Formats: sequence, structure tokens, C-alpha cells
Amino acid sequence: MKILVCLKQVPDSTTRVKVAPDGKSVVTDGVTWSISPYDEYAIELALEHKDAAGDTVVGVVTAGGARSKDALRQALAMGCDEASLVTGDAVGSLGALGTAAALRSAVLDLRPDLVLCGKQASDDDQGSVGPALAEALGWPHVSVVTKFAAVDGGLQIWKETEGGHEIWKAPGQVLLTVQKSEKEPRYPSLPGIMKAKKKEIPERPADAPQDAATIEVLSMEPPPARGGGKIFKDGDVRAHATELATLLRDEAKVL
Amino acid sequence: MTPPTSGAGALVLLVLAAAGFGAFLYRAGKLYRYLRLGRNEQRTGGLGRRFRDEVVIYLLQRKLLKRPYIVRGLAHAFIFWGFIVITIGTADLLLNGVVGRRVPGTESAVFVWAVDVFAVLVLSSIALAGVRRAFFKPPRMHIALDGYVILGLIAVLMVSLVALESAGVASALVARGQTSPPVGALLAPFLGGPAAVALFAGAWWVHVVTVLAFAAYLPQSKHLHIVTTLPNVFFRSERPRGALRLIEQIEDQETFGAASLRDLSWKQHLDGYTCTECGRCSDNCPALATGKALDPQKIVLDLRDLLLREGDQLLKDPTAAGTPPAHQLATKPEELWACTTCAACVEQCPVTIEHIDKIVDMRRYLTMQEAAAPPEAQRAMTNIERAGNPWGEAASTRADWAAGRGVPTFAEKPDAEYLYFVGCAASFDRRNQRVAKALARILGAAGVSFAILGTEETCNGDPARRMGNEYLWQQQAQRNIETFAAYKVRKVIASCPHCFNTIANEYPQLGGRYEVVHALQLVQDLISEGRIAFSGGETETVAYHDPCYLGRHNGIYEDPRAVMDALPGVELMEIEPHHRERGFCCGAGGGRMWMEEQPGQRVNHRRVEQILAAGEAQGTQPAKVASGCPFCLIMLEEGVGAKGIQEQLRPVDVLELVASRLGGDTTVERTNA
Amino acid sequence: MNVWVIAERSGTSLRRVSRELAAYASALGTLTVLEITGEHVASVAAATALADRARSDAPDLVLVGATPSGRDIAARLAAKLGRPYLSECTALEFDGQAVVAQRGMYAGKVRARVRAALPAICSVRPNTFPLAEGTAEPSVTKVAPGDNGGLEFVRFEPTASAGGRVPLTEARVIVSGGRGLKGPEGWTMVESLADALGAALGASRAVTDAGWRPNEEQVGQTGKTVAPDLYIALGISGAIQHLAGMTSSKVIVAVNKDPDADIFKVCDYGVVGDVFEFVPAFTAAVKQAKAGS
Repeated sequence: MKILVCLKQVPDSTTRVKVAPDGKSVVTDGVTWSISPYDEYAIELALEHKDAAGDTVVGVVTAGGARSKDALRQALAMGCDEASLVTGDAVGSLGALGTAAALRSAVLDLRPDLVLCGKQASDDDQGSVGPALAEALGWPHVSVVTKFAAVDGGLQIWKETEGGHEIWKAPGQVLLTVQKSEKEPRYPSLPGIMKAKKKEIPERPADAPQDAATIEVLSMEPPPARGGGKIFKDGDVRAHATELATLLRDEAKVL
Repeated sequence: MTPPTSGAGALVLLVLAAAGFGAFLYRAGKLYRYLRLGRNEQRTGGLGRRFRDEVVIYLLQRKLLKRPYIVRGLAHAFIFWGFIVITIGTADLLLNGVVGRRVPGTESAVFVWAVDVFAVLVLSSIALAGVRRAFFKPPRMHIALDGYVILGLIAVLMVSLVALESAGVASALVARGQTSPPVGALLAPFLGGPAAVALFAGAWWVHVVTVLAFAAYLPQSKHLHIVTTLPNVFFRSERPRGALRLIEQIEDQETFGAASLRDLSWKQHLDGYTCTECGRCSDNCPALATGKALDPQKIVLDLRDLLLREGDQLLKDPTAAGTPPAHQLATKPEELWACTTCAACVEQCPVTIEHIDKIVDMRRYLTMQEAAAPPEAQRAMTNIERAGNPWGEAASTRADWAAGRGVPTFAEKPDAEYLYFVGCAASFDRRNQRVAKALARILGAAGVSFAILGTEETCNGDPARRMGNEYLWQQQAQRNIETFAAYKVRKVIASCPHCFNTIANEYPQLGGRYEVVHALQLVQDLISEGRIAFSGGETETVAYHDPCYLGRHNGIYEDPRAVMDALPGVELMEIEPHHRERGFCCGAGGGRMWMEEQPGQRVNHRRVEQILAAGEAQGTQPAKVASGCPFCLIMLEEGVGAKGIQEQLRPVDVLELVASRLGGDTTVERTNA
Repeated sequence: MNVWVIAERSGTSLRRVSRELAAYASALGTLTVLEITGEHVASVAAATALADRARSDAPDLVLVGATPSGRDIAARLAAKLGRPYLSECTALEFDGQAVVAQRGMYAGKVRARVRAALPAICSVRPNTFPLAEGTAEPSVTKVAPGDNGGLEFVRFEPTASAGGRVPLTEARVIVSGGRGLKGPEGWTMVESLADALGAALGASRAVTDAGWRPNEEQVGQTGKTVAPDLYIALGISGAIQHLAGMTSSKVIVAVNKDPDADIFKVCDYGVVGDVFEFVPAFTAAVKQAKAGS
């Protein structure tokens, strides 16, 4: 089986995101970049399949600038077999549909049986590209997947839902958006890192048209600073409890 | 005394000697070829120290005579010294027997007396050892037939020696003008006539044949240490104890860590031959003591057994790699991961075996070659890579603790004398931030010119290196070394012994040479120079917990104690018997801070129990336990919390005790001190 | 404006978020509430049917509850129609022929205002719009699913071990207990609160080490790393080993009797007091707040 994982390079989850002076983007200087976490799970899921079934070939692809090659190398170091970069001047400004169109041509060239994406990238948190790529390919997709297995006549897929998993079967080519792998994404071996350093990463032009569905960021606000929390101290426990519950519902909107 | 080897006797003796020594040499040659399977390693630098080691560790038996082992250590020393004296006597017997010549000096009265005095001491020590093995088995000692065979052979040697001497004296075989062996002279009156002559011949032959049997048996036995200790001590590592071996040109290597017996150095194999199976390493191992899978003695012996098992095959086929040591049947990865690298084993080993290096070499194989480190360790390594600290805290918040405290960065104060390398724990852990603030106050009060690197600092790499990720350590170390170079840093203060150890002992491997001090060393200097004034302070009993990377790894036992002694109101309590070089680990070293700790009791919980027990024995419970290490502090905090005694026993850093007693400024950050 | 709300059903009634959206959208213009019929419908089949209908009905705005299934259908529908899609909106306004939404980015670390030309599709977080008590359920137009691209539903596997609770790493709300709960008995109270919140259970390492709770519930450096919308830490002091696993949570509530506990330095709401007194009162308050919202 040939699996293609689509990934995105994003600021690492340990990075403290700062809003840039323009008020509508984030500071990229001094940021550590890594593979978006759900995409890492997708890679791990693909590699777990490869560990079990030796004839599996795992490719990775991303649409992005030159810097994205580091993310591809990280994936190669983890054990992926091949990588390609879809790139071009316009690649940074592509929306979900444009990105999907750019990735589509890579998929058509590489001819995988299965495409995996993370369920959403941790920068825009949209979750659009996976389903959009499936649509561009004319494939079905299943989202929030935690596991898959090759079975007679296709692929069995575990989709996480409330209280359990729906199990689906796909007879042919399918795209999955991944929620989680059973194990944490693997730390690469040093031979893996060394091999990945030397590996050629072919570039493909991003021949996507500008799509009409772009989203414009008007402004960004930094998160409220931690530590200035509201502290309830002394006084009636019941009153505190009620006030806290109300705040969580109406102010924090988390109930 | 003339040997009973006239005519055919000498020939028989010659044949027997050839057989005995031949068997010895045959086996020894084989062991030598196995040993040479190991990686090459230069171990000949610093000859002066090596010869001094031979005198102190080998001849004077210094490492055997350690605190808890003094009786058995002395017994061993008597056997050892006796062995040396009597071996000279035996050589004399054989030489005299075969060619009729004497070894120079053996006819002197001193020597004759020495032989007998040691014969008695050896016999008593043997009896003691036999009784101990049979009836008071030390918990960690590996008891096998081998031990009894050797004790038996030595006993036969001593008895036959005394018998031949007595019979010799009784038969008037001592030449005129020569000293009679005193014990022989004592027993001679009970012997007489032709029986004595026969006994002399019989005892002489028994003695000599036993010596030859002993020689033949030795290389099959753990008692080979009689021979191998000499080179093992001589070739002991010249690296500082706290420094692991550098993998040079790491990017060009084919395999990483101990993928094969060939990847361990010849000296590591010599360690295996030299292990006496005394069990002192295991006796002092915090992992073993708390029910973990690790047994340091077993690690050494497993490697030796693997070499004996696969040696022939590896010699036959130079391309064969054999079983990876971390995956041999006997050693399991969880044993290797349980090690805190506390060096209690290394400290106690009487024959200078280097346990940690072996464990780390096997970890290196698991981590770098197989990417098989425990998942939590992998997470910590990913965090170091991406955030520059093992907890995965945002790198941009590294210097937040210093905000508004007048602590300059090197960028702001390029002419600062010292770099304070804060370390990840004191930068990100809120408990340890108080320690960093305390040190900043002390340095300020003493007028020390210092600066920090701020967000340009990154993890020194110690956890990665000890988890077996040499590559990540080198990357981290190089980044720091480059930053140090950019600011022309020459002097470094570290409040974390792990930072201190790695920068002082390991950065030189990559060309980073600085004058590095631990904060408590510097504070001790400041106190003795009178640059710190104290104004009173609570009267309290404070136990001192020796951090492994200050104490055992770097020999810093006195400075922290001297600082505590200088503090008004502080009554220093020793956590006896687990203090100084027998200090018990907190459980966090070797990257264990970031790993699950199962099965068994947590090491830090045991440590807290030891503190309480020491208090009980001394009749005073300490109000605080002070340390000089952020990891120890985190672990002790957790330990007292788990026991629910955080109100009775407060863990602190010695620096906090110091800061709370500084005169003047009262705007002290609330500390636990 | 021609607005669609794609509704989801839970049991016999519409989901609360669907009703919130319907109530909000009814003031915007013409409202059509659509519901896909059948159970276990592949999102592609739902999106296909909805896209067919949209081509003739031409809605200016399609609103979907930001549930996993709602987001999934919305993303695919947007791709089918070639329209912009904004996910997990927490506020909406209109600016000429465009919708301006507020939504979280960078795992909730940034709050952004984003703009997309209409027609557009938005998935909206629950509780974004008010729902007056007694609001009648809107009338619903049923839509049969379209082609599912060959996907076949096989079966449903309920999660066996977690007692019906959501897995820790994916939970939006987590209630976590520490040593301050004194023993495993403390968890009866914790579980009631978790039930009231629909939360997953977490624990500090001390607790799992002591065997009060299973290891899988451990949150922290050596346990699981979590980032829920709401993290409630009960009797947890806030050692770095625990904080490393949960400081990315969007809202942190801490209850601890020690006012100097480090957990209060990272929390958004803190209660200094006895967990055993506070938690039952808070459980009751949560139930009330949820009922009254």
C-alpha cells in the first residue's frame, strides 16, 4: 500500500505565540517550526501501518515555502520513505481550496492508495484542507480517525465519535483526517536523521489558481495573560461556587 | 629448607608447573583475545595518577576500606597482602624446587616472619569469609561454588604451608644461621622423627600442587580479579567522573552506542573480568533498593557472560556483530532505564569498574539507533529540541523570573565577570525560580559582577546525554558554547549541579573551556572573603542532602557544609549513614526526572524516610532539608508532600537559607526558607 | 439574507447548538433549518445532498454547530460549493457582502477577527448565541443523504473502559484531582462534578503513583499532555511536572487550601479553600448554570 501524508509546518506548540505589530499576523522571528501535531499523529499512524506491513510506502507532502523542507525532513527522519514540496511564490497566500488544488496535483502524480491529513492544523485551526482535498480528488473522506487497518476488499477505519468509535469501510481510495495515533509520534532514530539529511526532496510547482474562498484576517488579539486570575478567598462557599459557575458560562464560555 | 625434589622430583615439578601455568596462559590468552574485540581506547594519559592509583587503590586497598565495609574490607586486605607475601614465598619454593636457587630476600628474618604472620591472618580471614558466606549471607553478594573453591584452595595453601614449615623445623631442615619460621618453630615440638620428614615432603608437594591448581583454575573464576585488578585500576578512566565519553564525528558513524560487544571498549570488557561479585555496587544502588529492575552488578556480569558466550564466534567472523548488549537475554531495557547515574556503584566499586558508561552506552544504542527510549523520555528530548528545555515550557519565557529584579543579561552588561547559567529548572519551575532569585540577591549583596543569557540560554543537554541522546547533547552544548563565545564568557556560575557538571566536565570535550563554579562554592568563597554579612536568622536544625552531581561526581562535599556552618542559627545535621559519598540519590538524575518510575517505591520517598530515620537516631528531627540542586529540591518537595509532612520538613536550597539571612534589604521574595 | 442552519439531532430533539443557531438566524432573514435523515451518514453523503440543494436555493450563509460532525460536513460542503468556510466561530457580524467572525487560532492562543465574502459557511461554537427559555423548536426540512462515495458503515464500538467518559486527551473539559483529595474516596465527589460537566477525569502523578487512580489518568510530564477548554485542578499544588502537561488549557480553575500553591500562578479562576466543601457546592452550581443557560 502507498500512503501519502499531507502535513503543514506551524509554530511549535511550545512556542509562545506573539501578535505582530501589524495586529493581524504573528511574529515569526525566533519561532521554532515543527509539524502540526495532528499531522504528526497522521505520520505515526502511517508508520505504524508500515511497521506492521513491510511493503507499505509512506510519502509526505506539504505546500509551503523553502522552510517547510525542515518539516519534511523531520517526517523522513521519523521513517517516511519519500517527501515532496509543493512550492511557489503564491503558496503562502493560498486558502484552503487553493492549498487543496495544489496538493491535488501532487497526489495525482504520486498515486497513493490512501491520503492522510491531520484533522486540523494548529495555526489556523480550520480543519478545511483535508475535506477540500478529498473533494478536489473526488474521493470520499472520513474525519477524526484514530486507527485504520487493511481488510479484505478495502480499508477498515475507526472514526472517533461521542462515546465510542464508528467503524467504516472504504472500498478504494480514501482520505482520512487523523485525530490521534495509538502511540505518541515517534522520536526519530539517529540513522533516520542522518538519512533524512541527505535525501533529495523534489519540488513541484504550486499550480493552483487563486481561489475565491480566501479568508482575510482583520485583527489578532493576544491571549489574556496567565496569572492575573480571579481568586476567590474567604467568604461563603456556596456563593463562590455559584459565581464561578456563572463566570465559566458567561465570561469564559466554557460550560 | 631444602625442597624434597631431588632427581625425578624436580622433573615432576617442572611438568606440573608447566601444566598449571600452561592452563593459566591458555585461558588467559583467550580472554585477552576476547577483550581485544572491544573498541580501542587510549587509557595511558596521566601516568603519575595511574601509578598513584596502583599504590592507593591496589596496594593499600583504599576502596575496600569504606565505611560500612570496614571489617570485611580488612579481612580482604589481609588476604590480599598475605597473598602478595606468600606468592613471593611460593615463587621461592618453586624456584628452589626446580633449579635450587632462592629468590633474593626470602631468606631474611623479616620475610620469614612476614610469611607466618600473614599465613595466620589469611587463615583467620578465610575462616571469617567462609562463616560469613555460609551463615550470614550478605544480601547482594553472589554466592556460588566458585567462592568456596577459592577459599578452600587458599586454606589448603595456608595449612600446607604451616605444616611444611613445622615439619621442616622439626626435621631440622632449617639451615644454620637462618631464621626459623616462627609458627613452624611453635608447632615443631609436636612433630618429630621420620613422620616429620614424610610430612615435610607431603606438605611441600600439596602446597606446590595447590599453587599450580590455583593458577590453572584462576581464569575460570571471578578470582581472576587477583590478576586483572592491577591493569583495571591502572587503566581507569581519566575523564572526570561526571563526564561521559564523547562520540567524535557523530554524524559519520554507522551505528550508535553499544550495538555490539565490539562497540564497548576493551576496558569495559576488562571491567567484566575484574568484577569480584562482591555486590557493593548493588548494595548502594537507589534503583535496586527501591525495587526497580536495575542491578548494577548484574549489568557488569551480563556483559562479561555475553562476551564469554559469543567471543569465539565474534573472533571467527570479523563481520559478525553478535547480540546487541541491550537485547541479550539477561539484560532488559527497563534495567538500563532505571539508572539515575548517581554513581553510588562507581563510588563503591573496589576495583574501579565503570558502571555508568556501560549503561549509557547501551542507552545510546536504544535511543539513537533504535529510537526506543521510553515515550516520556522521547517527549523530554523533543521538548529540549523544540523549546530548549525538557519540560516544554515556552522558550521565550525563560528569563521571566528575572523581570524587575535588576538581573542584567549579557547583552545588557557585556563586561560582566560571571555568567550565571540559570538552567531550565530555575528558569521555569516556580519553586526553583525562588532559588534563582535568592542567588541573584546574594550576588547583588556581595557585589559580584554577573549577567544571565536570558532567552539565549538553552538546556545544557545533560538530560539528553544521560538518556543516551549524545547527538542532541552535542547540539545543545554547541549552541551554548557559541553563545558563550559571542559574549566572551570566561567564568560561569551554575546553581544546578547538572549544569555545573556538564559545563565544567563535558563542554571541554567540544572545546568549551571555562572557569566553572557551583553557586555554593562561590558563596563559600564570598563568605570567607567577608563579602557577605548576615543579620540573624531563625534557629533551626537543617539536614543537608548531598546532590550526586555535586558530591560523588565532583567531590564537592565541604563547601555546602561550610556555607551552612557559617549561617547564623543553622544547626547542620548529617543524614547518617546516607551522607557524603554514601549520599542517597533523590531519584531524578540520568534523565529520570522526566520518566515514569515503576515498579517499586519512588526513590525520593525512600530518601525522605532516610532523613526521618536519621533524625530519629540523632534525637532531633530537622525542620528543613537543604540541598544544592533543583532536581533534588523538586523530588524532596514531592517526597514530603507524598508523606504529608510538608509542614514538619521543608525542603529548601542552601541558597535560600543564605538569602533569608542577608542583612539590609527586606524585600525578600517569599521563599520556603 | 437567505440563511441555512444545518441541524443535528440528539435523541428526539434538536441539539441545543442547532436551536441556538436557528434562534439567532431567524432574525437575519429567511431561515431554512435542514436536517440530514438517517443515522451514521458519511459526511460526504450529507455534503453532496446539501450542495445539490444549495445550487438551486443559493443560501447566503450556512450555519452549522461546531461539533465534530458539523465541522466535517461544513468543510466538505464549502469545498463542493467553492465557498469560504470559517470554523469554530464565537461571534458573527456582517459587513456589506461579507461575514466577520471571531474565532480562535493557534490552539486558542490567539483570538482573531476574520472576514470572508458571502456566500459563506460558518461553524459556530455552542453557547455563542443565547437561547431564550421556552423557545419553540424550529420546523425542520429533512434532506436525504446523497452519494457516499462507496463508504460503508460497519458498526459502532462503544468505548469500554472509560465508563462512557470522553478520552482525556480529547476532552473539552477535564476535572483533575491531586493529593489534596486525601485518598481514592475523594473521587466520588470528583466524579459527580465530572458528570455534571461532561468532563474527563485526570489526576496528578502523586495520585496515580499512590494507586488512587489508574495510570491512564495521569496528566503531566510523565503522563498525558492535555489542552482542554476548561481544566479544573482540585487539590493539585502545581509542581512543574504537572503544569508541563496542562498549561495549554484555555481556562484553568484551581481549588486548593494553600493560598501560596503554585497552581494559583497559572490559573484563570482560583478558589482558596477546602476542596471537600467547595466541590459539592460547585457541582450543584454547575448543574444550575447549565440548566439556566
